[in-house]
Amino acid sequence: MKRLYYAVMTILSVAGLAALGIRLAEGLKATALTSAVSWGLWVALYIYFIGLSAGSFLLSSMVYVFGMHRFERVGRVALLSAFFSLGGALVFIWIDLGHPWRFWHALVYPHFGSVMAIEIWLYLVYIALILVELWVLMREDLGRMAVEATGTRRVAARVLSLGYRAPADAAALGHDRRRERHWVRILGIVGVPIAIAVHGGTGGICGVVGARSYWFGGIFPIIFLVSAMASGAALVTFLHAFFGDRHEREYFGLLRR
Amino acid sequence: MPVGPAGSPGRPPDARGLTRRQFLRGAAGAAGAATLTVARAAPVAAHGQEVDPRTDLDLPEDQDAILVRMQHDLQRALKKPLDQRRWGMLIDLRQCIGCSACTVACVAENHLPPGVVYRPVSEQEVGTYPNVARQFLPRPCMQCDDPPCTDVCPVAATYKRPDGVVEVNYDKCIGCRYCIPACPYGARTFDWGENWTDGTPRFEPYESAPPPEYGQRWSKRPTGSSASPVGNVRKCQFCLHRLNAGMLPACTTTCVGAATYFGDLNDPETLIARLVGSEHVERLREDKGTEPKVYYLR
Repeated sequence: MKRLYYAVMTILSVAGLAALGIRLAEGLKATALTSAVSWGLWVALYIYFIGLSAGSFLLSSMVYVFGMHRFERVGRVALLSAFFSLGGALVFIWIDLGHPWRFWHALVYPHFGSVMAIEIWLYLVYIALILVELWVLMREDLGRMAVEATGTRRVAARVLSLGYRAPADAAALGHDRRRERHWVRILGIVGVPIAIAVHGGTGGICGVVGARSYWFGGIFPIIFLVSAMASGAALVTFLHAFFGDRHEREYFGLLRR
Repeated sequence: MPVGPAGSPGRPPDARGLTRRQFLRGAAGAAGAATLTVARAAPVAAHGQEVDPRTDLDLPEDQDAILVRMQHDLQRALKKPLDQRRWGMLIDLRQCIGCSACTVACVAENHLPPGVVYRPVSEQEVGTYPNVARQFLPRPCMQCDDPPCTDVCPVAATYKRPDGVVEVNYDKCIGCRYCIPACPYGARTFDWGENWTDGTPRFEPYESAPPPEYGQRWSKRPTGSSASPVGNVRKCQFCLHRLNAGMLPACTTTCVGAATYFGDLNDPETLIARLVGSEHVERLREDKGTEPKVYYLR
């Protein structure tokens, strides 16, 4: 089963890399887009993945901020999927740029009158926050893996653990865990308005355009956020169904409700 | 082409027996007679009805005289400092015949690739037969005083110049295309990197000449996948490169119906400043509050 999974992933990755090469070589004319509707599949997927990311993050905040510990198992998966969804979204919008290698202009010459520029900077803050929160949550397991695992997992864990090792003494371990919970709680609290700003702002990109009557208005950020909650919850449920403990029936029931 | 009886090639089988040669001579004669007419003819609108010729505007009868007058206005404006000029355009919709010469002249002047159009002319039929008329609307960039496109650019690659033209900095633009839906007039288009002679056996040399926009030389086509202006948003810039050389924009010069006026709105003695004050002047989508600088005369 695992081999099949890796085989499929490898095939898809190779195909994707080939397509990326075509895109970078040929330019945007490979997309057959027109100026009449100049935002196509890639922008739509970027918005979708930002929504998944914000939704997953808000779901994880249920565990770490609002203390709903029944969903503890989902918390990490949700945070990880928030991070990877965001990465995917940024790749999609990067390849959609007419000048992909000029993306840094938005960081060096930002024009904060534009919602898009504000959003780009918010993504940086949001990525940093997720990474820090993930590290705090996973540092104990990473530390263990750095010592006990072998091969590539050991190397990866040694790098990612940033030198942290779980103390052998039970009291110190308990103290570290309490500190972790405390930090994750603070990061989660700070992260909730940031996640809302990130995806609400993506809705704002459409909402501020007066020229488009179906976009213009304050409802658009709300639409995006509500959709994000729905899709984020769906993603986390899906991930847990595949990668979580199948015997946690009680937990599925709670998510279904 | 059907060949007639031996000794008379090109004789089509029609009742009048008009040979091809005779037809072409007649057509050339008619065309030649038309070009001699410089006077502004009375525009014809609906079937059989004539629109009153413009007597209210006190314009010279001669199209050339109008162009010369605008040329003098241009020279006067160029002597002023940049921030005291305010370029504007006025299009007389009664005179516009929908020929799209302006569209073509603009494409030729700015070396526009497929998909990039700065000044399309839209055509609309109004009324119900037999009381129908055709209305034509050329639409350049409005060079708004409060442009919605400059507000949304994340890198401020597009901005309003002191002389009123909304410019795109081809080196700064990242090609995100946010400004394209932001424009209420659809005046901005994206250069996807297509070429007219793509897919043909030979990439024609006329396509490779770099565009002269903004007075700089850009990449020759075929370019890399994202060498400016490929991968940029592009728009009408009132032919800034021509203005700086003392010439009117290409569309103004070539307008067949003498319907396009251009000049410095800040100078009350220019032809366009006088026309903008006349009756029946309107602008597009006033409700958006963009304060466009292109006016239309009905």
